[in-house]
Amino acid sequence: MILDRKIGPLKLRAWGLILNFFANGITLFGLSKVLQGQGGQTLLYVGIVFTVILLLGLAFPSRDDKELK
Amino acid sequence: MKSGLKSIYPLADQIPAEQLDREAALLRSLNTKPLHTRLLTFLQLGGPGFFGAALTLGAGTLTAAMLSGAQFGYKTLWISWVAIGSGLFMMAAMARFTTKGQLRIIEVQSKRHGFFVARILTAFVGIVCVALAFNFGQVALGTHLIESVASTAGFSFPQAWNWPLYGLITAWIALNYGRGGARGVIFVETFMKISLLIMLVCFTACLFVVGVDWSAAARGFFVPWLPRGADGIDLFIASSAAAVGVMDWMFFHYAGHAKGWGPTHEGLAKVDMFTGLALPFLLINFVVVSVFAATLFGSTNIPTSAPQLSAALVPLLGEKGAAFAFQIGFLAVPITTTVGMSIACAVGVHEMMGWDPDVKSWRWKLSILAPQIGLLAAFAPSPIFLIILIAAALSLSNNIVSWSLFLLLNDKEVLGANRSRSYFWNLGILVQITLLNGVAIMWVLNRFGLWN
Repeated sequence: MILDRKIGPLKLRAWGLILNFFANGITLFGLSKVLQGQGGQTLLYVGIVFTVILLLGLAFPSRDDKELK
Repeated sequence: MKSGLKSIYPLADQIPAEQLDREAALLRSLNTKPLHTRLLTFLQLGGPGFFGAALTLGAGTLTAAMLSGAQFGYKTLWISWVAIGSGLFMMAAMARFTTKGQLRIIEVQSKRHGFFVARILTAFVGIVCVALAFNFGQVALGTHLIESVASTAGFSFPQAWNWPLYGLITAWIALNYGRGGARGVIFVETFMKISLLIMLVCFTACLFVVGVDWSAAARGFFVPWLPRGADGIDLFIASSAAAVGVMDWMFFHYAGHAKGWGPTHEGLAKVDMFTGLALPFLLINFVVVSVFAATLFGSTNIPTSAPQLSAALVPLLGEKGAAFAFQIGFLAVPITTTVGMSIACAVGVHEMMGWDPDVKSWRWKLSILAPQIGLLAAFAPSPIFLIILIAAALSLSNNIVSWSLFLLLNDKEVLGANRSRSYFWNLGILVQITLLNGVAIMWVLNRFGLWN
C-alpha cells in the first residue's frame, strides 16, 4: 500500500496530513482575503481542491498485499 | 481480573474475571434479543459515553448554546449535530483502541510518535492543563448558581461561603472513581447519568413554560445557516471543532479500560457513544438553544457570560418553579464537568508520567484534587492570561494529536488486523482533523491580524 511507504522520516500518510494542513491554511488565508475584499479567490479555490484531493486520497485504509490480490 | 492475569489498565484489576465473562456472554447473547432489550442492556452496561457528555456539556459549551439561542434564535441548531457527528468518528477510533486494540494509547503514541506528541501534547496540554485551567469557569458558574438557588429558595448563601460545599461534593464524588473495583466506577457513572437526566428534565420543563416555535426549530436543525462574513466562519469552525476534543477522546478510551472492556465490548462502546454521548449532547443543546431563542432572542445588550445569561433568563421564565428548575438543571452542568475533569486530570497526570494508576495512592488523590485550584474563582477573578495561554496551546495541539491517532488507527504494526478497514470511517476522521486544523490556522491568522 503506497500510503504505508516510508519516505524519509515519515510514512506517506503522515506527509499527506502535513500537506493537508498547508492546503487548509491556503484555503483559510484565501478566504480571509475574499472576506476583506482583497481578491484571494485563486488561493481559496486552490486550497479547496488540494484539501478535497488529499482527504479523498488519505482515507484509503491500508491493506496487506495478500488482501489486494 | 482474568485468571490472575494483569489487565491493560490497573483500575480494572479488581473487577472479578467472572463478572467480565458474564458481561461478555450477555453481550454475545443480545444479538438474538429484541431491540428494546438490547438498548436497555446497553444503557445499563454503558458509562464512558455519559462521562463524555458530562465533560463536553460544561460551562463553555452551554454558554455557547445560550449565546447562540439569544443572538441567532434557532438558526444555528444544525451546528450541534455536525459537531457531534464529526466527533463520533474519532470516538469510534478510541473505542477500537480500547476494546479490540487493548492498548494504553498514550503509551503506544509515545513509542510510535515520540514523547512530545504523547506525553506533552496529549497528556499534559490536552488533558492536565485543560482540567486545571477550565475548572475555574466551572467553579465560577457552579458557586454562582448555588447562590442563585439559595436566593430563589429565600435564603442567602453567597459564593464567598458556598465554595467549600462545591469543592467537597465534587472532590468526594471524583475520589470514589475506581474504589472497590467496579463499584466506584459504576457509582460515578450513575451519578453522571442521573445528572444528565436532571439537566434534560429541568431544561425541558423551562421549554414547556416558554414554548417552542417548532417550524423555526426544525428549519434551524436541518437547514445550515451562518452569520455573514468572518464571524460565521469563526462560529462554525470553533463550535464544530470544540464539541469533542483530546480530553473527551482520551477519557472515553481510559474510562473503557477502567471497566475492563475487551474485544467483545466494541459494540457496547459504539452504542454507548451514541446513547451516552451524542444523544444527551444533541438533546440538551437543542433545549438550551430553544429556551434562549424563545426568550432572549431579539433583545438588545445580550450578556456574554454564563452567570449573566442565566440571570437575564430567570425573570423571563415567569414562574418561580421554572426559574428554580432552570437553576437546578444548570447547576448539574458545572458539577458533572468538574467531577469528570478531576478524574481526567488524574488519568492524564499518570499517563504523562508513565505511572500505573492506584486509587489508594496519594499521587492519584492529589492529581484528582489538583483541578480544585479552580475554587479560587469563587472569590477572585479567573486567571484570564493562563486560560488564554492554555486555550492557545490547545488550539495549536489538538490537530497534531488527531493526526497521531489517525495514523495509529491505520498502523498495521499497532493494530494488526484490527486497524481501520473502512474508507468512510477514515474520511470522517479526516473531516474532523480538517476542522481542528482550521482552529489552529485561524488562531495563527488572528495573531497576525489576517483574519477579520
